[in-house]
Amino acid sequence: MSLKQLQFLIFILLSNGIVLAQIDSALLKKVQQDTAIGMNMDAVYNRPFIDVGKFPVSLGGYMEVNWQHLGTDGISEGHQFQARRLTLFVASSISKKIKFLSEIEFEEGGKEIAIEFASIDVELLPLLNLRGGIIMNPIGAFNQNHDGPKWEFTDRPISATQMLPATLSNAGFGLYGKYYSKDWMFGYETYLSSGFDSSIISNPENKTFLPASKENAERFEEGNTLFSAKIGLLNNSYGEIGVSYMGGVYNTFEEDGIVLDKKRRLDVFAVDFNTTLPKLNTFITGEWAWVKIDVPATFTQQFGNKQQGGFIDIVQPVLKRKILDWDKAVVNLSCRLEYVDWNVGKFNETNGNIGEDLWSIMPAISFRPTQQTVIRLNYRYSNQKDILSNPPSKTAGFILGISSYF
Amino acid sequence: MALLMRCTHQGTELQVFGDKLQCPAHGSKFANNGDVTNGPASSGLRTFPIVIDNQQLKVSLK
Repeated sequence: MSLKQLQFLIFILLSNGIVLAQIDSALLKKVQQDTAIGMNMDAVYNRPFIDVGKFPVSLGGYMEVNWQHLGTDGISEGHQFQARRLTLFVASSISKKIKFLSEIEFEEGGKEIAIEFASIDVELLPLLNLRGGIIMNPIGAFNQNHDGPKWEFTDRPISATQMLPATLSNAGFGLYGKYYSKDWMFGYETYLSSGFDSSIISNPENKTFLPASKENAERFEEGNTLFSAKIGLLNNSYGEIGVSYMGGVYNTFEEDGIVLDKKRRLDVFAVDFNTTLPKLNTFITGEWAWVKIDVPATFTQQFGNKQQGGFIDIVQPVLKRKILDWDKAVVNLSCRLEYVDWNVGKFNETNGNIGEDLWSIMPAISFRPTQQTVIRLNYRYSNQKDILSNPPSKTAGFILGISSYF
Repeated sequence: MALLMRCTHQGTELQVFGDKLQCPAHGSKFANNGDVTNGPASSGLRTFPIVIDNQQLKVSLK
């Protein structure tokens, strides 16, 4: 090699170095080795995720912290400081069209730790994706779209936590897909998963209470089968409407081949919608759900065989401008209206209405320095009747909270 | 123009549905020019210039 050739080679190498130095190193992807090749003793140190600069692995989450001062019938709990939840979100692209998504939730300072969601998604077609793992059943809108910073209210809707179990997740498989055409979008989800157990009618609440099933960790290993499905239709101008269903047998009807009871079903049907009014930019979202349960005849009427309830949020942005150092800060005035009836129907003996219902109204003012973070002040006024429809117990008070993605 | 298919919210890879891009994690949506159309993401996607050279599409990462 002559000196001239050598100089040229060095120039090429240097110029390549300069070009590479201008490219964001996060964009450069290392070719992954086939982990099946190699010695067993190296396997622990040679995993695909031990790879600096792997793209895209995302790590994030959100947290919520509140102060509240509520009183029921004049009796107050005093000042309450609540670190409601910290959620860690980890996702990665395993390979082309194969993704991993997960959400781990720590509630009440770590007293409750749950894998809310952990799935492997395989995209076969935009309209046909296979999902397996701990899935979030698509009932109503709130169960899946529950992230604290997205809402203007510190509390989750009562109908979505005390009637439907919020963040209900089960082990299962399913298919989902979406189709976009101009201003329209159609989406569907359908899953077969583990499901509810008899605790929904045998629990410390002494009423039909679906969230009791969340206490049963066995549902990630065994249990009854639950079918859940949702269809959603969205128009960019008019908003989105969703119709969802979940249902299945909830009781232990057979043990070791011995029939214990007939198969008793639980069926839940929900409708949800959201829209933004033109000009005013008022955002309106809500859902309503109906629950039907086959309660054994030997149970008293305090265990309802029908429940219904829902909520509507009205969010009006009143200020959108630079505030302090935040260029796109927003101040919203909002109101949430809620209703839940845990026991729909009339007493057999008297034909009088079975109580066990609640309504609540919650005005709010919220400040969003960015879309990721919300500081919100809510006032709750709720009215809950017992089963005999005695004069209701009234709860009222202020809640101040901050919730943010990180 | 080429788009980096990485959500500007928490970095999850986006999914393509027709001419829209959606994040499977928290539901942010982007138009086919990279503009954010639905939060929680608040900024548009990273873009790269492209050139078509002799029937080859070249994306500049610079």
